[in-house]
Amino acid sequence: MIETEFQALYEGWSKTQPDTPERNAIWEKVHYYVYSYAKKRFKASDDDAADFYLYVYSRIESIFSNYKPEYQILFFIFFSVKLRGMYLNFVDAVSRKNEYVLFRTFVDGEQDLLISPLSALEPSSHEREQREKLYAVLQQLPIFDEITLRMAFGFPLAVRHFRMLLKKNGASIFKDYREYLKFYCRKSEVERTKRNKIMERINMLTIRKLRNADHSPQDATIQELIQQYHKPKRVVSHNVISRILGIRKNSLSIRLKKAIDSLRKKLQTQEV
Amino acid sequence: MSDLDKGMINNQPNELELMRLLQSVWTAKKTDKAVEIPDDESLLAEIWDSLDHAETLAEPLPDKNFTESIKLIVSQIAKGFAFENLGNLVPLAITPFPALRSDAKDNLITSASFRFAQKNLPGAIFYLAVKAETEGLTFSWQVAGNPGRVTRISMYSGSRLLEMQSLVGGSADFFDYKESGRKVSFFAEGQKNLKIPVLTIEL
Repeated sequence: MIETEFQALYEGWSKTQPDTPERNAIWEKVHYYVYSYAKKRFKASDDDAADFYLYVYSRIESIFSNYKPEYQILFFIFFSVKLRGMYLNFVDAVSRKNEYVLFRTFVDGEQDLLISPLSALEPSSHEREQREKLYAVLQQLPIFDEITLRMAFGFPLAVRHFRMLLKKNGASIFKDYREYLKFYCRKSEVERTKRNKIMERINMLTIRKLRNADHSPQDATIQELIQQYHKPKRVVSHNVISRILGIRKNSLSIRLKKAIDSLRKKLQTQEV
Repeated sequence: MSDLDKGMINNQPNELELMRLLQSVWTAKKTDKAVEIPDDESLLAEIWDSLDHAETLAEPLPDKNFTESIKLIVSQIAKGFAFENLGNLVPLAITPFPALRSDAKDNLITSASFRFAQKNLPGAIFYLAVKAETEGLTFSWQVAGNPGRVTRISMYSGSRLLEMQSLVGGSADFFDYKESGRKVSFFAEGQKNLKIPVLTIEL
């Protein structure tokens, strides 16, 4: 367990002298944790990761010496909060928040809660346009309808939604919603790959058709593939959504239907 | 908060509270126990974000590849020293965000090159190219920015001198057979009994 491992690192540190082989063995492990953490946070750039690692480098010892076991905070939690503080300072200083979403931007309650600022919830530009339109209308619905539809469409929840579910369902929402996000990221990536493959096949058949200049039976296949490409797929199961919302699966179907009706009405009103 | 030690809570009045709440959520995540979260949106958002960072830290450590191992070692040596390029060289350049470059990416682990400074040799820049061959590793060293002082590079295993190469020809090249767990150290040597440890690598 990670908590036990970090506790052991702290205890090892407190019992050893500087510049001894025992202390160096601890540092080697700690440094590799920090280095790996940096690599994961700065997915896009190895060099940024190395810079951050160096930024933390001279401060690692102070994290150990500032830890006070009497506060009954696990050393792992203490270390991760301190490391996050350094990460935010570093990112703030380096990029002035251009590339990374920092917690300070959450406080308006509208900021989406994602798993990671760099996680892949990125739709294509056409999809984004449609989603933005939908997103704007969603916000005009009653809050519970909005939450239900956000979950069904794969929009991340905002802090105020999350707080509401936290009050309703308790702390399990942290685990459930994070699992939902991870699942959604994974599943939507799989769907995107599938759709790309369909598009490749459509392109290939179209080129072949143009080359042969024929009226081949490929027409039907292409049409079928186009339909397949545009067919909406449900990415997240109703089981997962109903667990997060704290309602039964049957109630979810009814609620979804009602929410979609309201959404449709809103959209129609706007178009008129 | 006034009775709390400085350092444990660094100028952030909510840090201890954040740690306590994060600890409750971290534990509750495994046990499904209820946890009380104050009705404060910014704090809630902060716990969410902190949880993400804690999860990142808790992810299993990946196997160290060849490039990363050396990069990590080089990073630890280079610390606050950084050089953008030779044109901008200053005798002892220190930047808050030193850049350390390796030309090898993940999984392309057959060769990598590094440039770095050593704090005991201000002004000198070491260029190291490491290449993995079937039977061992080649280390090719060059030194710039400090002409005349460092004239040789030597390779040791513990206190045993394995090889010494002159830098007069431009670079000093070493080959070492792979022996698991063996540590080799490189020293920069020169006039007036100059002998500075530059890099130690466990093969």
